[in-house]
Amino acid sequence: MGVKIILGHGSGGRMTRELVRDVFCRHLGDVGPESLDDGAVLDCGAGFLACSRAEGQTGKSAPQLVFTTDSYVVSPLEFPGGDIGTLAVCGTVNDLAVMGARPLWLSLGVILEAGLEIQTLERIVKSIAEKAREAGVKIVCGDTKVVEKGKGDGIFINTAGIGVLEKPMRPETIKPGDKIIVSGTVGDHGMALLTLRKGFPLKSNLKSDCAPLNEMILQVLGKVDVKWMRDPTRGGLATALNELTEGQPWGVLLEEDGIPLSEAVCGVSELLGLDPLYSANEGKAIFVVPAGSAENTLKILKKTSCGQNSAVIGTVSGDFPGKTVLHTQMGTLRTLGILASDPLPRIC
Amino acid sequence: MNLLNDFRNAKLARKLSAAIADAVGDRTFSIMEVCGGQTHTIYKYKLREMLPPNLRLVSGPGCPVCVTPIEYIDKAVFLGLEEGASIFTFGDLMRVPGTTMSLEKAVAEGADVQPVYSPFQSLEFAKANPCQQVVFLGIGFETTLPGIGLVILEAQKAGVENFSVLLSAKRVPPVLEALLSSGSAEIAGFITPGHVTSIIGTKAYDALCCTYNVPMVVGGFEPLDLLGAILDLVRELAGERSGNLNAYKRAVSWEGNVKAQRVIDEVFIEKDDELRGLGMIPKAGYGIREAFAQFDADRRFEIVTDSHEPKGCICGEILCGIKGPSDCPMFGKACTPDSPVGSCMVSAEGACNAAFLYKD
Amino acid sequence: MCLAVPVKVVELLDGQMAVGEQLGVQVEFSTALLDDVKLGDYVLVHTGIAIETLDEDEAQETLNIWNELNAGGE
Repeated sequence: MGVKIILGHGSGGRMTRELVRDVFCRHLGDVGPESLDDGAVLDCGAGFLACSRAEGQTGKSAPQLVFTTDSYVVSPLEFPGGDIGTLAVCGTVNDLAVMGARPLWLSLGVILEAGLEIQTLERIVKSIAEKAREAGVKIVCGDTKVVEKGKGDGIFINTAGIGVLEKPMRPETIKPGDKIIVSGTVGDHGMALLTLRKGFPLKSNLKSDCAPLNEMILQVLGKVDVKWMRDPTRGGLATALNELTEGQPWGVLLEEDGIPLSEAVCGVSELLGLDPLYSANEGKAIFVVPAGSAENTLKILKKTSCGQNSAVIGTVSGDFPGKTVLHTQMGTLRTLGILASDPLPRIC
Repeated sequence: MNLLNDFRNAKLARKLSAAIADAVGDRTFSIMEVCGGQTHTIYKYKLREMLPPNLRLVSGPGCPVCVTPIEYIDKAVFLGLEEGASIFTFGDLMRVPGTTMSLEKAVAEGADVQPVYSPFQSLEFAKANPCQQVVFLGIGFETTLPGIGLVILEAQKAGVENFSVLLSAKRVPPVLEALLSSGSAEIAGFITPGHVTSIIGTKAYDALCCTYNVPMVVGGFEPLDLLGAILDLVRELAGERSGNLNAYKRAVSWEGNVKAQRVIDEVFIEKDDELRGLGMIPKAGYGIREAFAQFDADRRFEIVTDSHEPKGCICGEILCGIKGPSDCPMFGKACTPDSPVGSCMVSAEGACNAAFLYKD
Repeated sequence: MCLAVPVKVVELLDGQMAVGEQLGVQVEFSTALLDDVKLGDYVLVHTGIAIETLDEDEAQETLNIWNELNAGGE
């Protein structure tokens, strides 16, 4: 792993996972998280029951809470389709939503760098308010710290979120034949931000897809027996599916031709030599559903504003245990590994 | 027509695949795709599945990141950390291990290293920050070199005093000649690199084909381009011919890009050069001409390095086509894309990286 | 070794520069290595520099040759 932190440790790929495993999980041990899911399901048990009885709601079982936290660092702070504030709300809301929860409350911690324009901060906070309203969540507590100029990238944000579990995910019920659905075009956020890198002579109409997905997901959960969901952020679709298939007696077979991609994402991928399947998304969800529910899931998704380009992209298959395999447009089969570290423009 | 998708057509690919199998028959051939970009396409589209098992594809040395000597990384790290220069580089070079550290790790130590898309970005930065020494890491083969030459010409014209290039530029024909004359890899035919040949022209390989009696076919980078080049090559081999052919005619001519050749000639001078794993090869590299000495980072700075290759790495033999990634005991264990030991694991074009990323 | 992508020239700029487009993405590049670049031409761009003009007729001809392959019957 090396002796110092390098940027690659924050890529969300293999390096991040190793860091979490070898430093955090190792030392946290018995007080550490039980799983490395996007959020933790908390059983409130007796305490809650006592409360609800006092309010006369006897007979109702205690709801389970889902708790998650995420930190946001992004450059530039503002970009087409959103800003760091939009990300800070959507990212945490989506982490709760894909755990099968209804997001309710968020905390907001900000670390500001001296020299940040107040106007910029106002725009970011307005975005936070707008997205919180859209997602139907409340910002219930917060914290502000300021660091010296040069010690932060304008603003860093952390949000933690709490939601009520509506429908627990059951990845243990996944079996060959189940369908993989993605709620829209993939790679938009990552590719949009790459084109904004300082000095890169690329221009496109690409926008970050940043959006809260809880409403869309709740609509699906109400009618479909969803077995697993994930929002494929850092590391992209390929990394998220690798996390699903790792160690399982089945794998996933993706159809390259079926994966929705916007034209501009393809263009940036070609020009910079990158693979959109490893590019980040901030407003997409992957669903694993029984084969018989796939059509209905698509119908529901396509009626929502975030899910219009949703598509069935693959099938759970017994032929590739533990692997995510792409049936390429050339008709060949290629295994998709997990992202090693941040994709850099491949030039030569 | 669509210049990308028309060359990724599965139906045509099957036709080409069948024609290749026909031409190969029950003979056994070893051919080399010289360019790392071609290796990448072969792995990305799993083209080996479409080729007969008795046709062996060997990845060649045409990956600038892979053949750049470790000393080069050490020099760049030195310039970033000891000289405090702003280092601009193609992204591929960021993770290549040096003797003590990679550029990515030099960033953690405080170096300013910025990945760029084009060498022009580094010159723009130098113009805007006249008090800061700016060094562009000019690695590449003949494709990349004219662009680096243009930037140096522009720097001279604009009188930019804080800009220099740390050059490690290589020439494909002398490297092929070195492979052929050593005879160690036993390659029957070569798929020559499409974009290098856009610059130098197909004519650059004529002497090699005649002298060594070996066929060469220029190949592009889309899956059909490669299958088409393989078909032409195995037909030459089957017919015991040693033609110098071009399967990438839309981008490559016999003469090459004469204007680009002139830029190379004006700014650079051929020299004997070291390639990682391949050693010193006559005329295999370029230096910066005396007239542009002030833009040569090697001359501008007194660079001190103490370089040595990592132990146990067989990148050299892999680059020569003598061994494959899976022959290396470190492959996928001590050496992975996250903690690469050798250069072939770092570059997206490196044989080890491609083999790891797209392994089964 | 050399990632170069075909782009269609959509705008000619001063100082031997041009704008090209591929799949809805625009890229600014130098035309200093090419003679008379015209709007609508396809050029190969490598590291922000056009290295060659693409010949569409040759591209079509190549595809035609492959299309006419009598696979399996040779």
